[in-house]
Order: sequence, then C-alpha cells, then structure tokens
Amino acid sequence: MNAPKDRARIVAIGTHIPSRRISNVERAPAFKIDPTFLENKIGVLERSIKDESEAASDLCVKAFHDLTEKTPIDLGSIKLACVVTQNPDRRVPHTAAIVHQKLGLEKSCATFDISQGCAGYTHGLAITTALLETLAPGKALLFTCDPYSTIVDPNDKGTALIFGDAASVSVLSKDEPGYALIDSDFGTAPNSYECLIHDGQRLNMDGRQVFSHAAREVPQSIQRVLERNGLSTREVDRFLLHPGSKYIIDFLRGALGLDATKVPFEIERYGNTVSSSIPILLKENLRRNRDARVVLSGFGVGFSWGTNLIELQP
Amino acid sequence: MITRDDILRLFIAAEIHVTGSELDDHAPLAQQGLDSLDMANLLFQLEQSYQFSISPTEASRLRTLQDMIDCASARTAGRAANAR
Repeated sequence: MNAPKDRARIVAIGTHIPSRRISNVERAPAFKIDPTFLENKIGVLERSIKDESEAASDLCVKAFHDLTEKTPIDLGSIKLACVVTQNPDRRVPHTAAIVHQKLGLEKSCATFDISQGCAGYTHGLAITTALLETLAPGKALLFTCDPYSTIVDPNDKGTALIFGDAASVSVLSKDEPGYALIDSDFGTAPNSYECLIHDGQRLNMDGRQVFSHAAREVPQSIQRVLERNGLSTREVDRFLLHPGSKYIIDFLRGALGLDATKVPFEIERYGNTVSSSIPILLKENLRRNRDARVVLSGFGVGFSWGTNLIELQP
Repeated sequence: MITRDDILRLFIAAEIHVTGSELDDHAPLAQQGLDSLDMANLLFQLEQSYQFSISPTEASRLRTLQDMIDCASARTAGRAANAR
C-alpha cells in the first residue's frame, strides 16, 4: 500500500449541467403519470438537456471551464485524461483524445475512455487512482459525460422522465489535500446485461429488473466495503448513491438504516445524469460539508455496480 | 404451501399500504392502486423471501395476488420435490 503522501486524491471537481430544461410536470400527463408518482417516486421534476449540436466532449470542456474558474490548473501538469462515457462523440477516436485537443493538453498526457454507465465514476476513480499512483509526478483528469438525450425515446414512458444531460471533471493529484480512495467493491450480476440496453435505435430499460438488482446488490456491496475496513455506517459521514430515482434511494436508505441527511437525493431539477450523478453530488458535498469519510456507490447499466470508500487526507 | 397472508406480509415489507380486506385476489394489482415501482418492489420481496428469481416473461404474468400465491407455491414446491 502506498504511504499517504503517495496517494492520489480528488482535489477539485468541476461540473456542467446545461441550463436548458424540459419540464416533467408538463410531460407527465401524456404518459398518464400523476404528480404524486412523479414527485415522490421518480423524483425528477425537470431534466437538463444539452443543445443538439453539442457532443460529449463539448460538455466535458464546459465542466473543465467550471473547474478552472475557481481552481487554476497548469495544463502541463496533466499526465492522464480519462473520459467515462457510453455516448462518445464518435466511434473512433476515443472522446478523451478529442477533449485532449480541445483543451490543448500536452503530448505526454495519456488519454483513454471507459465504457461504463451509472457505475462509471466509481470504476473511473479506481482506475485513474491506480494509474496516477504508478506515474511520475502529475495530475489526472477524470471526466464523466453521458448525454442520454441522444439515445432516449422521448415517447418511451419507461425512460423519458428520468435522465438529464451533464458532465463532470475531477482533478486527481498526489500533492494536494483531498479525498483518497481507500477501498472499492465492483461486480456485474450474471445474465443481466439486457435489463438496460440500447438496441441501435433507442434505450430500453426493464425497470423491474434494474430495481431488483440494485435492491439486492448495492446494500451488500456497501456492507462488504464497510466490513473490510472495520467500519459501521455511523462512522461514514455521507453515502453518495447513484440517484437512479427517488424510489431506489428511499429503498436503499431503508435497507442501510440511514436517513436523508446521510443519503442525499438532489436531482429534482436536472435528472439522473448517469456517470455524472455521483461527482455532481460529491462536488456539492465537498462545498457544504467537508466530510471526513464518504462512501460512493454507482449502479445500473450492466447490471454493474461499483462502491468506493474515500477519506479526506491532508 | 404459500398462503395469502404470506404474500400480504411482502406488501408490508415493500411498504405498500393496503389492507388485505381491500384486495381482490383475482384482480390486477395495477387496478387496485399499485404502481409499477410498487410491483417491482413486491416481486423483489417475493424473490428474496423465497429465494428464486423471476424472469421478465414471468414478471409480466404476475399481475394479481393469486398469481403470486400460485407462483411462489409452485416454485417452492418444485424445490422441495428436488430436495427429496
């Protein structure tokens, strides 16, 4: 194990949530969905939607600009840029190379994408942490961006009122205080990939299966991480769980015996932003709380999940 | 043999607030106030309680309380027979 000074840490997060919104309140009657169900179970009142001309790389660049407004970054110090997306600009090349060009990153900066969905940030954090800890001095940029407005059928009752577009970028550094990754748990339920699938035309979701896998796997994944590290839920300040819907978050709170303060749900005004949901929550959480110990858990497409335990280190 | 009360206990676990006397065992639950997420949770409780998995095709056929009693009875009876 690396000594604390060699640990990669999340030191800053930038986000971009497009300002354009589509009202679910106005659209729900067309699906015969009542306002109570929309508010109390889906939990998304309006969704953020990107401009049609924007690609994933454009949203990533905007997230980077949000970051640099508050945190100046020496582009020459960036040795790694990873984009977590299943909605890349193009099939070839990888979106990270496009972001590399748009930001003017240096020749010595490695670029790659990770094809992961709602558990993408937790996977990406583990991979970029491991790589950065083996590299010479430098920083890593971990981007997330899954603009589902490009793949969701707006007339599909099962998916049309859930997803919003957004992007994030997390800066990882070995030289500054921030959140270090302590432990992770990952998995994929056997025979489950068809529960959330793009059929070439649109996204199809078997909501019952997705719920069932999440309800079964996520509490167990979190418990495994806590047990391996000798922790109880009381010793974790915050649990940032992928907000697939209000209903699943309410269920997971109950399963873990936790309340809304410890397991926030804050997507009412922009929607489920897939791989960006956790870093958006984490950014807000960093700003408001500076919690010492946080559990992140993403789950969905695959059906895959990833849980990270992170701790604030000087 | 799985009873009506066994299935009604799953409603409580799923935090679905209906009383047994209100329910028609043979009418679709979707027509008796349960939404799609209630149904998803109820089927999850069924899977967890009786340790079997429900396929998407099977799930689409489980619409009534009686369907659930029959399904759980058949699946657990099949397991008991295999154990013998």
